[in-house]
Amino acid sequence: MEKVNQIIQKWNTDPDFVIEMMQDIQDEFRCIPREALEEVTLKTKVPLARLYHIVTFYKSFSLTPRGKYEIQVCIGTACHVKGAPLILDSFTRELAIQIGETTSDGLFSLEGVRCLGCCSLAPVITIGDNLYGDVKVADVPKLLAKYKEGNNE
Amino acid sequence: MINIIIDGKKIEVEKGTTILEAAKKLNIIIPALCDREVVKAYGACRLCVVDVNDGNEIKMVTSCNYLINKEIEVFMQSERVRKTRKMLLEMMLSRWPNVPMIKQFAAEYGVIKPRMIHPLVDYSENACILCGLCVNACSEMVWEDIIGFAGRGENRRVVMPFEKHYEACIGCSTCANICPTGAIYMTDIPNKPADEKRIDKFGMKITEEMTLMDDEQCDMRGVGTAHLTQIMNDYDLLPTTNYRFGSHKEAGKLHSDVFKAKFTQGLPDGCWLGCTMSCAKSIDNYELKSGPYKGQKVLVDGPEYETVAGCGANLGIFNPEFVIEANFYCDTYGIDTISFATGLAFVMECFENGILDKEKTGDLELNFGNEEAAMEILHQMGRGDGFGIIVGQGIRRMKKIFTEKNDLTDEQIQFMQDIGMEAKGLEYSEYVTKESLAMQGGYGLALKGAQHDEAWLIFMDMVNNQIPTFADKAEALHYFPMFRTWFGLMGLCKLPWNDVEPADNAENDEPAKIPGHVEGYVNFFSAMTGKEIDKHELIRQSERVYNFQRVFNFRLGYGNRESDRIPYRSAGPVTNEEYESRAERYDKQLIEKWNYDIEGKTSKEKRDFLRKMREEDYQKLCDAVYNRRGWDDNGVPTIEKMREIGMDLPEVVEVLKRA
Amino acid sequence: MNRIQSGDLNNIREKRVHEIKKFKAALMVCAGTGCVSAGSFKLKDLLEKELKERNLDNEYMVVPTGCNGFCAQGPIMVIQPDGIFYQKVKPEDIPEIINKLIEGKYVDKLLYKDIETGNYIPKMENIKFFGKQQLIALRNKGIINPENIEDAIARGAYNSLAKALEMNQQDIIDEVKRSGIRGRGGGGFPTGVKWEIAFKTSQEKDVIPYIICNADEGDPGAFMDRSIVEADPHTVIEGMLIGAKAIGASEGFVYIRKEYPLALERLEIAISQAEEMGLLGKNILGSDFDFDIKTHRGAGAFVCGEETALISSIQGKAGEPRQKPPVPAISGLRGKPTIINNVETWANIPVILDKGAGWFADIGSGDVSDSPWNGSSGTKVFSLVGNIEHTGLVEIPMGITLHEIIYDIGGGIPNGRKFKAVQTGGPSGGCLPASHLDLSVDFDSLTKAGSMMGSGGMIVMDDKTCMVDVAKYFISFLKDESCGKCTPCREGLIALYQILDRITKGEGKNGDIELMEEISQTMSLASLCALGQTAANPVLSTIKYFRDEYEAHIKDKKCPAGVCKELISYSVNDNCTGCTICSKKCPVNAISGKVKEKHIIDPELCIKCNVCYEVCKFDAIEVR
Repeated sequence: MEKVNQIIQKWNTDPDFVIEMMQDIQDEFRCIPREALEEVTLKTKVPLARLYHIVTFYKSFSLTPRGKYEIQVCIGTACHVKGAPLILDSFTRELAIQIGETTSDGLFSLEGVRCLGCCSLAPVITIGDNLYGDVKVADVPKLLAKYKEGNNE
Repeated sequence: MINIIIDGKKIEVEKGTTILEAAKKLNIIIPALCDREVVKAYGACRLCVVDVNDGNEIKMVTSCNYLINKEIEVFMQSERVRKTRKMLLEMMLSRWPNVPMIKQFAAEYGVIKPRMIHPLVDYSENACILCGLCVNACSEMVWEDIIGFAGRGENRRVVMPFEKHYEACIGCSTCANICPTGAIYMTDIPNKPADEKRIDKFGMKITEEMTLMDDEQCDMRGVGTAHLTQIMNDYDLLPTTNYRFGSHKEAGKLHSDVFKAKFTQGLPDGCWLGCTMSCAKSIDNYELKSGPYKGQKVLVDGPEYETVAGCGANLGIFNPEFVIEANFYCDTYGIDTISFATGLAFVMECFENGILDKEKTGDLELNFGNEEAAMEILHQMGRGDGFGIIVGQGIRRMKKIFTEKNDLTDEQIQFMQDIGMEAKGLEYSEYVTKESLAMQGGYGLALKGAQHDEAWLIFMDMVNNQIPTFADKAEALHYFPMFRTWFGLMGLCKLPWNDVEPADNAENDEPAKIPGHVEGYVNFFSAMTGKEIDKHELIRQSERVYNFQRVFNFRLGYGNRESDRIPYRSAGPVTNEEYESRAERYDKQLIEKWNYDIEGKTSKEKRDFLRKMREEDYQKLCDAVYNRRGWDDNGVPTIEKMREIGMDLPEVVEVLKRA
Repeated sequence: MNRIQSGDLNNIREKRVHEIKKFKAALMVCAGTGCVSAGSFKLKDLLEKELKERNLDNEYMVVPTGCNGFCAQGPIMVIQPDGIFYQKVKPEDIPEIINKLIEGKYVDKLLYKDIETGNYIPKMENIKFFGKQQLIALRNKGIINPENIEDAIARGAYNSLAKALEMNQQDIIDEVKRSGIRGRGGGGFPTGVKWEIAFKTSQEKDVIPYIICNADEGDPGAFMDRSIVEADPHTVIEGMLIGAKAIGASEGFVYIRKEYPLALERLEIAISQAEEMGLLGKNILGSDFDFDIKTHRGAGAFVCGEETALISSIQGKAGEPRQKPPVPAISGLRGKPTIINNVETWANIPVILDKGAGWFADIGSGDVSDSPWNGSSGTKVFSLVGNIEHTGLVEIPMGITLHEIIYDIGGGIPNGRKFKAVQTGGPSGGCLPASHLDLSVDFDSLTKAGSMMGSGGMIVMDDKTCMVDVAKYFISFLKDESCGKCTPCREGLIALYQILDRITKGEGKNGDIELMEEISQTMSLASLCALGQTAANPVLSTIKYFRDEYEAHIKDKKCPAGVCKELISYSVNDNCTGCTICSKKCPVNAISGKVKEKHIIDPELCIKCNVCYEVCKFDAIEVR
């Protein structure tokens, strides 16, 4: 909770910046805990119902913890015509989770994201902070294996 | 005014009217799911679309939130409009096939079976149709944001945070009452009223009035009672420097906009959860400048009007910061702000008139306007030391103490009696009553002492001149104390009764009684208890208690004409300075009302005559009121009266036999 | 750094130009998001290390630049002043690059190869993709270090601000109006007119207006705003400053997508550098003009590109649009007049002031001398992506044809496939067929053809693209992004999706097309905001131009392009050499066959994941 307060202070408890606070909270906890939102309400006086609307409205937020590695499959138009749906299918199959879910080991979560702005590299995905372009269905198992290994080391 | 045409019919409307409002005036019904005057048009259901030709183009708009600002022609029934509404209804019906209002509108537009299959079809008759009324009602009417929307697109839904019960919900039921489909309902009705629907009906009426009317009438929800300062100053009723005058050129420093800027919470702050008036206000992080908590940042609960007028204008201190600080320390020490302020105003006037001096005040220069000395007295009262011990005993005891100890002339003693603003030992609250005889009665004849909560008749009497005769005034001084006592009996707050009035109140025969609200209270009582009463029985309930209290006072030696006396400051000008400051008004009255020849008369002569007349009037008023209340000449309830109201209990009769 | 006055700009410029001239050449390493993902930061570090080790760091400088817009070929390096263009540069190429540089020669294998002639083209300006472009908004891409304000000033940044500070407010507005510039974000509303409304309203009401830069580039397939902010953040700041001076604002906001972390970082660096120099804050350039810029991070909602939703989001609320009118220029942020322009629009403003409204108005199509509505002046940046040889950002004068963009600049359709459609205008736009290739690309022509300019996404689709699937894709996208407030948008998108989903599964019915048209019309008439009003465009435009493809799905239960999973099957043809790679990669073991023998796909097991098609080197997998 101390962390949450630091985040709220960082934004000067300014109610205009609750979305930024919540983004920082999401980054910190990989989800938005109820207690954290209640703290934001207490400090900024923005009603909890409104914060809850924000959490469920914007894609960045999640009420359940996201994986250590967040996989974002771009589903922008350029990526779509270059086969993004097949890439997405491939991830759901390999990870046995649907969009918005996290693997039971907490390692990966999967999101579809509207356009990462790297359309020249379509289809594009990001895993954690890394961006991969021109992804093929056949690349997916390799990529996942790399991160699983990286985690074991 | 703007001329518009709706389906060929001309109508003149005010600028800023919505098309929906204009159509209603022509009795044209536009289908709409979320049309309730009491919440702002939300424009979500889109059923109320119409075509508008604004001179440039014909475009489709929603009539609920399209403001008419120029001459337009509106087409309600064009092919395009009908087709659009029909498709909207087909969409809705595919999702909510059994909601009666949707079925009905759909049938009117010829939609029986939708062509689409909806993946989220909800067969309930009480399905939520996402109209947003509940969410907006919670926010705009109740000033809470307990329920809200969540999700987006097809996942949009109305929920409490985290989709479970939220403890902050006060169960006010506004959302349930405004929901058009019954999707929201109460699972547990607090207090178990006999007739829940009837309670809801009148409860919603008050809530709606508050939402629609408060902003323009009083802004109780915005600034609380502090809005009164400006009104009182404008009507020469704001007590300044111990009730000598009713207005001050610096009063603007204490007006509500000053405090509104300082009120920080922006939340509904009522005495009880769910009050739609929520007139309590507070200031966060106020840094104290004096006293034991100096330098600390505190929350100050208030100030309200009485505190602003008392600790501000009546002490000659036009500094909002002082008012806030005094507010905090009075609360902290457990001192009433009115008694503190009125008592200190008396002390200051004594100080300025030589009844007190620095030696007696412990070296404090207790002139009007001396903030530092005033605050020091408050701290002394809190600590129980210095001159504060004497001030803390109140005006009635101070008069006695000063008389005994200060070696005063008879004139000075009389002066103290005239300016010591207390009745029955209680300090006056903050209204100047000099020009309203009825209000003098309101203070003087109140059972507990000089408080305005029994009868607040200044506007009826002085401003609007609605009760000119003694009989009229006596009737008011019978009815209103009884009516107001009823709130005490029920444990209800009086403010929602008359601070915000129904829109049509002025059209009633007796607007001051707020008949629309009296009817509401009769209904509340009947619906709550299951026992039908009428408005006369309501007064009768109070009369039993009120008379019993008077008998009780009498038994302790107070309930008589002598104890109903008031200080002359509350009836007229005590000093030449006071007289001369409003000479035109007093002179006019002397001539017109009493045919007094003012030619060549000094202020003192005129003042003395006025005093004689006004004191006589007050006694005549007492006669009339005692008579109306069924009391004897000395102001004691008669045994017959007690019998009439069913309060002729043996012990009571025993006391009254002594009268 | 000291706060500077107007006159100091020149000194800084001259000093910096002099500094740069001391070097023999500058190695500009693209550090846009795309190239960074391909390892350009590592490249830059290694370059610096190599130069230092060889004691050449006083002769050659390494400059990390913003996005070049040619991301598919990254990492990209341009050697200035000659403009030598290297692509797909790897760390092991570095020593050779330096060797050749000293010799005055090129590393051929890293050069661009013309697809028609097969010749290597060393210089950027001679590459068709770049040669045909005219750079205004992108004028500094790849030339400056975006994290160094002096680089920007050396290229003339903040000169136009200095000029604006000398002008009176109405004159600035008139200049922008005369240039004819229309909003680059989607609607194409004349920028100067918008400013004038905000200026007059704030004067009448005696309130201080606000400035917002919309960097919530929402249209999938468009990334020019990201590129501009990454490559040249100061032009955006300068544009906003000029706008602020024009309407009398003292506070501005940039609303930027969370998905663009690098752009946000660069922008914040640029803002703080500008603050230090006194180009933001109080008494800007020694004048009495004050202006501050704050950034707000978007949190992932397409609808926040809509002005009123964006304002709602900036105020810390869910991004739900509200009814217009009043437009934000009259009542926007905190109820005050607010002008919202997107990144590209702001980036054009300094150039308009610098070179004059007339110069700008002469570029582009139509005659805007009477009214901005009469034409499309200036250039527009397009992101040319999808099934096209050269993907990337192109800035071209308005009015050139789709054909010129796709074939002359973009190099046509790769892999010997045929052009089928080009989608413009983002989800609210439409798909134009081959018959429209001669269409002039400007605001009004595109709208007339049933699409729109939007923010400039241009997604080229070949004959392997199913137009019903594309329509379903957009509707699915919008269904997910609709805020859900108003009935027609929320329920209309659900209904359209249901129908399209059925059609792509071979369950289409007679009357489906007509029902979709009816739903679409209601959505466009009755929706609350522009998102809903235009949401059905992809459906309407594909029905208009590709009706036969819908009918093939509905009547014949076939997907001619071979995309809709339920309507296609995978099989192996006689090209198969029995290399076994497909059977090894198949995730469900649906492919069997012996080595060097033709393989077979079991249709019962096949999940149509396409991996076999991808890995087959012999074109032996058929999709029908």
